[in-house]
Amino acid sequence: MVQQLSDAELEIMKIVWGNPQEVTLFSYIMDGMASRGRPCQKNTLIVLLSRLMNKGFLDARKIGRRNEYTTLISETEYQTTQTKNFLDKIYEGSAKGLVSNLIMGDLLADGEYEELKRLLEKGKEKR
Amino acid sequence: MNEIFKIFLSMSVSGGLLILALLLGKRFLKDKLSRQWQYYIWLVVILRLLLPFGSETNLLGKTYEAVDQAITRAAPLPAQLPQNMPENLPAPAVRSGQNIENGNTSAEETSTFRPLQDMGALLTEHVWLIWLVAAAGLLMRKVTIYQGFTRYIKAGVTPVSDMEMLDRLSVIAEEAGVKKPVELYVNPLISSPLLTGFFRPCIVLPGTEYGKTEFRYIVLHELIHYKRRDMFYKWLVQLTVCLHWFNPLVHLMSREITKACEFSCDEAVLAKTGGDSARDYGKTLLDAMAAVGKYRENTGAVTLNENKQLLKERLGAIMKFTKPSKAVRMATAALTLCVVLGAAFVGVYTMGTAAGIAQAARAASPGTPPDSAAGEAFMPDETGGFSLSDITGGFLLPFDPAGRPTLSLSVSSAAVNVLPAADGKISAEYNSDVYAVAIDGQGSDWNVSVSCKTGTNTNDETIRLYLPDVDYGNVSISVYSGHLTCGMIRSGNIAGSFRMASVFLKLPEDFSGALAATVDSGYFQLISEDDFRNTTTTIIDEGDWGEIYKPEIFQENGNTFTYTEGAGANMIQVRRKGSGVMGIYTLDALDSPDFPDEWKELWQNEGQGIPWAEDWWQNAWKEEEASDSKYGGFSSEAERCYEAGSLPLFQIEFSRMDQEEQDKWLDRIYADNKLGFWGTAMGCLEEDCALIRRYAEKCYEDGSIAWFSVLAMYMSEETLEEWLDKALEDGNWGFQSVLYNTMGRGDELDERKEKQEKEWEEAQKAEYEAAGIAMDGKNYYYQGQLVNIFLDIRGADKSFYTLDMNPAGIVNIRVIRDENDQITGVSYMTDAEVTELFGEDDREEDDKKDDREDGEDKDGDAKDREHDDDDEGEEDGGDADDADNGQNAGGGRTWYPKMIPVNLETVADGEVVWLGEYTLSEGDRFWYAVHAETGNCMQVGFAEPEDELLNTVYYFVSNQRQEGESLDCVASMKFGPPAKPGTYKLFLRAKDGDLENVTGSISIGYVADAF
Repeated sequence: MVQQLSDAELEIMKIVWGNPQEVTLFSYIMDGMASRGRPCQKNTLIVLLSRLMNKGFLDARKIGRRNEYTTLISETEYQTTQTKNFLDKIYEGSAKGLVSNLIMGDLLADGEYEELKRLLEKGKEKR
Repeated sequence: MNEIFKIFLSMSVSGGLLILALLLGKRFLKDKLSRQWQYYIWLVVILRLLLPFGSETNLLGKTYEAVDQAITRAAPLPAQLPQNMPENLPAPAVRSGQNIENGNTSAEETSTFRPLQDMGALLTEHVWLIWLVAAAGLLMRKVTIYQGFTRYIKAGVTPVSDMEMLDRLSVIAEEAGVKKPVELYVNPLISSPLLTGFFRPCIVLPGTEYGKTEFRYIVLHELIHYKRRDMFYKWLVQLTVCLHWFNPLVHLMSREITKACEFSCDEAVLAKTGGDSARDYGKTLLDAMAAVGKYRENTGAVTLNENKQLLKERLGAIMKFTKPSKAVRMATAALTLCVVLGAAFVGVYTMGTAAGIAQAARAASPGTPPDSAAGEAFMPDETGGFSLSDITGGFLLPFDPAGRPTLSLSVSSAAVNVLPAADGKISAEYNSDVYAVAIDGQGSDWNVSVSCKTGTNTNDETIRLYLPDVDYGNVSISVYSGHLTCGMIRSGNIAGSFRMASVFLKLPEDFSGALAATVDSGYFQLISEDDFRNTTTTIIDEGDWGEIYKPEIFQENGNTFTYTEGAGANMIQVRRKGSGVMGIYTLDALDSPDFPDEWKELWQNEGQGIPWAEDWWQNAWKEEEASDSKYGGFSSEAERCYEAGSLPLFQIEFSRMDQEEQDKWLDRIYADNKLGFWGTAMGCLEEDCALIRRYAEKCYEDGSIAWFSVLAMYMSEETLEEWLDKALEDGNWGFQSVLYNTMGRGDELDERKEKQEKEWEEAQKAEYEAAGIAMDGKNYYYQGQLVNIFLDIRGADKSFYTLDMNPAGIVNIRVIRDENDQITGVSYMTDAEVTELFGEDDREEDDKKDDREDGEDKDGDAKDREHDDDDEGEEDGGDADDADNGQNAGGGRTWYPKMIPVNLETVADGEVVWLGEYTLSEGDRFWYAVHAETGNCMQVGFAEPEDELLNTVYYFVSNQRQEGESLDCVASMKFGPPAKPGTYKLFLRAKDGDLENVTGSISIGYVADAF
């Protein structure tokens, strides 16, 4: 089961996910946090990373004294489970409820609406 | 088994006595002594309670003999007692042991007849079992309670994800000196903050609603617990309590320690935050107290508060917090000694009664002297001072200092000359405007401290310090950044600690005692007037830069030099650390002030020919107004050392400067390109200090690798790591290599380099293939034809090129690249281009040699070589690029080639072969391509016509045979400054072994406009 992430942890995961490289180095994340306007202390980041490892999001390979971090859960994977959680919690598992809320609540930009429609059509064909 | 129990019982009693003594002492001295001390002193008691050590004659042993006999008499067999009575008198200790044996066997024999006594005997016999079972049971209970507690805590925790809070935690952790990452959890089930985890610190808070200061106090408090390993202490206490469960005093002690733990932790927090924060801190404690007692949190975990009564006391103590005065610190040290000695002296019942066990016990904790040492090892260094045993590692002193006066002399930033006092009293003559001299205790415990009042010490006047000429007991001398001359102590245990100082110490004739000195940088001179007679002398060299001069009589063993004369009753142990020069002399070798020649030599070498000044070491401390100093603002003394090129003296001067002045000097050293001084100066700076950080940035930007590498030695692991990350990111090989090497991880670099090179090669191959050039090993094929000359120039400044030749090839091609270094095409080279590259006629011969040259010169190796020879004195690997290089010079210029064939059957070792005179002008080029079949070193170069001895050589290449390779001299260079245009002789020399079959050519390309 994919565990919940705190805001700070999610922030880190976004940086790691956003890294085109296979492995991510500590300094990359440190810089990433800074460039996202959330600079943090070394210890803080170490603690957060070890939490992410405990939660099964990251794996660390020790090379000398450096850690190379790799993701164990992809961003889409996380998004899917999060969405599912959200659906279950708010819409009792009804995707329709969510979509209708998106449309009725005027939460979609114009283009998005069309795209969604196209996606729906495509999804229909697949089935 | 009963014997062990008996030993334990006796330890319990003697420990109990100590506990009583300490509790009593605490009543009177509670507020006087540091809380730290009150906490750690219990370790002595615990040691007493857990380890069966003791002096041979001890209080308890005596008492115990009596008790033991009484037991033997009373319990097992009173009837048999009279038999043993007479024997008891002469050697009671030994006899009583036999008594037990006798008693027991007798008890067995008669047991059937006396059921009641039998029961009693059984009970006494097995009482150890009861003791042990109870102890084990208790310990198990404690452990289970602790486990239950941690489970309870863990069940309810949520990690704190507030970044700001975590950041604050990080900062505080740094402040507290905790290196490990600290986890932070919240558990609403607990009543007060606590710390768990033996190795991974983890702070659990009841909630997150703390103010900034409050949070800081709480976290600091918990981290100090962690830092001091209070958890281990606590469990040690718990173990002691379990083993001594029958002793109420031990339980009392446990409670005291719990209190003392919190008290001393409070003290440490306040020491960190400053005394005026007491009120705030107290308030934090009170707040934490507001909700208390949801779970029994006492066992194992360290909590912020324990109970209300304790809190009251703690609040009282916090408000009274003051930093301990010197007098208190001295008293504390004395008291510590009392307790430790007390612990040893109270002793255990063991010796004699049960010899076997006693031996085992002694093996576990050896004899008397180490006892006190072991105790001291646990003691925090309250006084901040040092003792002889700190330095010597506890070697035995030649005499007992008891009854003699002790002397402690500390000198910082001052020049002191110690002289015998005529009136038997300590006094000093000095300039009170500049120096402060404090003399304490004229009785028998003398304390002299000399320091500089003004921030900038100039040592302008030497202080005369008069000391009574008596036999001393323990003498401790510490000199920091100063000068000391002393030759009057005839007897005593001298402990010296010298840092950045120049110390001239003379042990007078018939000296008796010991000298243990640690010399950390600077000059140290030791003269034994009676030539180390009856002395065991040990010199240990742990220093880096510098040297030790010593008489030849010393035996060398690694970095340790020893000499023992006679019985070796006196002890000398000198340890060199840091950088600096040390001279150990017998009187013969050094008729002061005649310094030994080797020293003078060193001086002259360092001073680059400055003549030796006989009395420099006296004058060095007198300030001279150097008005002719060409650099304003530099201390004239430092200036002089700098000009004289004396590194050690400069170091001493440098260490005295304030940061601003140091900064100026570093700037100058950097500009003057004096790497030696650079290293010396760095030795005075703190790890990671602002100056190091600043210059690291500068050197990195300037690409001054050599300079940076010196700085790197004074950086912490973390900083190095950061730099390494940067260098890796920037792909800066030079700096990477320095950093890896500094961190002792050279292997990693090699791996990376190899990998990178391989990748590069592959990428290169792919790139060429895309352009239609196929590569097969070193052969290139273009459109199916084997390539003769292959040329590929790239890089923004065209500094990077691949030139490869294969005499078997038929086409000459060159790769064309656009400004972005992308291959746009491949073209055949015109004859003109080939000529431009090589000259005309000699090409064919040259080719044969040239293709021995590294085919793919991807590191720009040839280019580097060229540069190194161009700018003489530039250190190797310096990345000082200038745009001028082989290829650019090629643009538009033509050379008229002249080829000098080399074909020599043998060149004998050391022989110089002259290959003609040539008139050279700026811009001329040379290509050396000479090959020798045997021999280990071949040198080729130019020299001025009259210079038969090759004193000055130009464009000199010296090739050493590499294992498994032939001896080749291949180089390409350009003539220019500092060599002046003119006539030069070309030579070839065999340097190491005969050269045979030396073949090849040396080509000179005369630049066209010279004609």
